[in-house]
Amino acid sequence: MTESIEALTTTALSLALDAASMRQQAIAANIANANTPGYQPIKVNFETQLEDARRALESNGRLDSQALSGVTPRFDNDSEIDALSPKVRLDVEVANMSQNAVQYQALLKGLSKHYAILSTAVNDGRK
Amino acid sequence: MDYAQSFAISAAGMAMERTRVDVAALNLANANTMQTPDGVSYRPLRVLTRSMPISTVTPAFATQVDNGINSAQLSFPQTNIEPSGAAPRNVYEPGNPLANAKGFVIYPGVDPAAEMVNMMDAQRAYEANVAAMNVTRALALKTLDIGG
Repeated sequence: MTESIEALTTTALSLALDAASMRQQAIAANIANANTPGYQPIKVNFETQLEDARRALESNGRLDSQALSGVTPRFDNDSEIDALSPKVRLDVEVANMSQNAVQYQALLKGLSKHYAILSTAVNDGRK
Repeated sequence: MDYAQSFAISAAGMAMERTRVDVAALNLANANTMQTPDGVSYRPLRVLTRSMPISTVTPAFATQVDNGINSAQLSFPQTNIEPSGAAPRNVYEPGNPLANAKGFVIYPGVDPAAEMVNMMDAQRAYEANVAAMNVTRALALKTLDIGG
């Protein structure tokens, strides 16, 4: 697609949207298995992978798509939950779910705004 | 991203909770059925749940590659219904035509309090699954607005 036009914003937002959508899946799976004995809750590993990109931004002063090439959101076992307490905490999952939904919609808004800016540029500044 | 999977997971969760309510209702409905002289009686049931990784339910190799072979996987809940093995209740009702030689009538060992607690638990979990499905639906619809 339009990889050459401001590819970084689109790439970063797409990755973040993928992560948010996978997080919704993970939360749905955790809620669905809330009453299953021995179930190991899962979470999505994404934000920690952005450390490298952040470091590249600090040292080079700019980011390119290469910095994000190794970043892929993926499912991980949720190790924060200890074995003593109940495995899935429904209230925490539902709270995470609404937070994730808001984040997802914010990302969508950002993507839409980005396309609106591109559209303004393509139309020579006219509406 | 594949939204169908989120819907399928929530649907599996709801199916499981509904099974638990069904079984609790069945146990309660049969709580006062007596054992007939030929030994036929209601045996209380219970639901066993376990989680199955999605790749074993829909063994798509591409899904496994997408998720990374070794990383954690999404799981579906699955249910098995089996007799709970609760001991039957013996109630002394000598006038009852179904009473045995000693005057006892045998009722199934249904624990109404436990069944009610199971049912409440299943109801709350079902509501959480509905909430998850509604959020998935809202997100999927919002996605259609990109660029709008």
